[in-house]
Amino acid sequence: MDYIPHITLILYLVGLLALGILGLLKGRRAKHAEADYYLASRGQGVLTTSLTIMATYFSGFAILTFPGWVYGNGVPPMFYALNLPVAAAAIYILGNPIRRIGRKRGYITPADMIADYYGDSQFIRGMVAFLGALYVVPYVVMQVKAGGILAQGLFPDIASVTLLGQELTMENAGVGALSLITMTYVIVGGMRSVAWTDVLQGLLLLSAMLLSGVVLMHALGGPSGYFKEVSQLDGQLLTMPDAPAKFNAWHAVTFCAFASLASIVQPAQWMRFYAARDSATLRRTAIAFSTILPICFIFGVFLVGLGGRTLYPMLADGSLPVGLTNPDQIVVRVIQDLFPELLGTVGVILVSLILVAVMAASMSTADSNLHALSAVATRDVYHQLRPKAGEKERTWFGRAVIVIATLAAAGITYAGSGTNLLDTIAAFFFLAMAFSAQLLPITIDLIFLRRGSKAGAVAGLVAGMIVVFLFPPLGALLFGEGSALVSGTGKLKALLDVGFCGMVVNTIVFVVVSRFTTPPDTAHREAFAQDLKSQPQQNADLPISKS
Amino acid sequence: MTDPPTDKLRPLRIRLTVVFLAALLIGPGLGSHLAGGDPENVRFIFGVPALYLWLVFTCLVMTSCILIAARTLWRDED
Repeated sequence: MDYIPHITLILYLVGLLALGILGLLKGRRAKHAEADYYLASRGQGVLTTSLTIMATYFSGFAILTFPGWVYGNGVPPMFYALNLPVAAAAIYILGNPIRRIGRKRGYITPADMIADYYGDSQFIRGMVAFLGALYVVPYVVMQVKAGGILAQGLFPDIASVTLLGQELTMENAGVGALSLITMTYVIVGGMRSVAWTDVLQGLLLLSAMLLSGVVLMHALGGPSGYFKEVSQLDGQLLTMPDAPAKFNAWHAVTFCAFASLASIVQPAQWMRFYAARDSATLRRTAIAFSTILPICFIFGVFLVGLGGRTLYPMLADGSLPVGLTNPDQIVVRVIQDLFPELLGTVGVILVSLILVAVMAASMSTADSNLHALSAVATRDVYHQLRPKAGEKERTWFGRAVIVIATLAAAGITYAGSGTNLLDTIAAFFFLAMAFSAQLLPITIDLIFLRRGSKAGAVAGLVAGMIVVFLFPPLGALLFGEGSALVSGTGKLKALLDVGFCGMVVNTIVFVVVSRFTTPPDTAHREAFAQDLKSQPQQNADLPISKS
Repeated sequence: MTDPPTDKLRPLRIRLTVVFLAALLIGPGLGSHLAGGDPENVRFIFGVPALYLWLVFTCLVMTSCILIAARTLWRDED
């Protein structure tokens, strides 16, 4: 049975490459190289759109960190799952107007739409691209690193491998292999390959989340046995803590309301709205998102985190039991211990599948963000510097960006473990959603209100970004751990979501500056509003194909 | 889908928005404190921690709002 993890991993990786090649073959006949590479010719159907949005929404966080929080803190962190219905509503309410006008006006990146409305200013385009990069870059690096750690978990008995005469740890070998495969299928097939691989990865991830909960409940004697064990846990784990304790109600509310929206307006998701075939696709995606994901969390991995606490209780001094060095390992520990014992060979296969699913969660986030980074670098930077570049040239430039970004991410992970560079990127990663949230005020203004001005939008974005920089861990890097400012923002962070704090300042500055400056002219605003509402023309500028 | 006249849907749109936002605020907020009890006196319903059941209920309310909106308010226009 030792070979099962190898076979599972090989089948999975071959499947990804095959889907990448299929994406390339499908896109070869496309008339518009750029729209096809970045948006799959705006023809993605329900299955692809819903699973690629779900898979991009969740990284390894879904199956490792979230249940780890439940293991450490009980039921209160489960309330963070209420961000899922909020995100589901946003998929249609924000996503459908974005899709509609994106098709009509040929947008590819978020900055295309924002700069078009507020006036084609290089500065606002650059700001939006910079915010997008602040979200995307740390995600790529950290997901590549997570993939390496998971490869180590999949083959715990292999300490190192030798490649071209050089000895590599299993983690570094995993980083190298996963980076290479992810880079390959993103380069060859663009959005189509990314989305198709996300379908495979999303299905694996959702099945693993649900299955792990079901098996754990079965192992503890069904629902009654499970909850009998859970009822013996400390009361602190089964009741909501008061502020400013971790996972208090205030933080849960602001996180659910704003972090979910921040994840929905980040560049990779925004581009998925442009890529959706029609409004029915986004409507059905919202339905799938709002029903399937909460089930997989609330009746799946959350139960593993809570049940894991009864199986592996923490020590009296609050430290972790033997065999766990981090709460994030609880799902892996539970499935590795229980599945083979309960299910024999099937259990061993399922353990391998779930570990591959965890890897898939990281890869699906990394590939989507790599692809979005390529689009942002090409459309918002390269095309602005070299306006005469044709679609094909831009697409090849985008592919080069993917190669450089992947090599840089793998290099940082390989060389930077424990260094300041990796620590800094990790600090940005923890605030990625807070940066992305700063796009919300202008997104809401241009879709629903259209009262803001370009100066207001820029001032709001800058103010929001500065506020996020003041919070730990970035604030601590800039001003030192002991500074009064960081101490103050640290206290505020315990109470409220950081993105929300930045967004409040962003919105106030946006409204005040817009009040005293000139908004885009009325005709422009009316034409924009019309395109947000009207149906796309049959002979639209860009082709529509089924994906 | 058949499109009902927009003005007739306005009351439904308002009701769904209010219920959804109320669930979002009260679910993790005040409701969670009332439902779960305190650490010395944890509430259980049929042996299940009441806080967990409250989460399931809140999520059900929010998801129902989306399903109703998707069936009635959100139109397939193309």
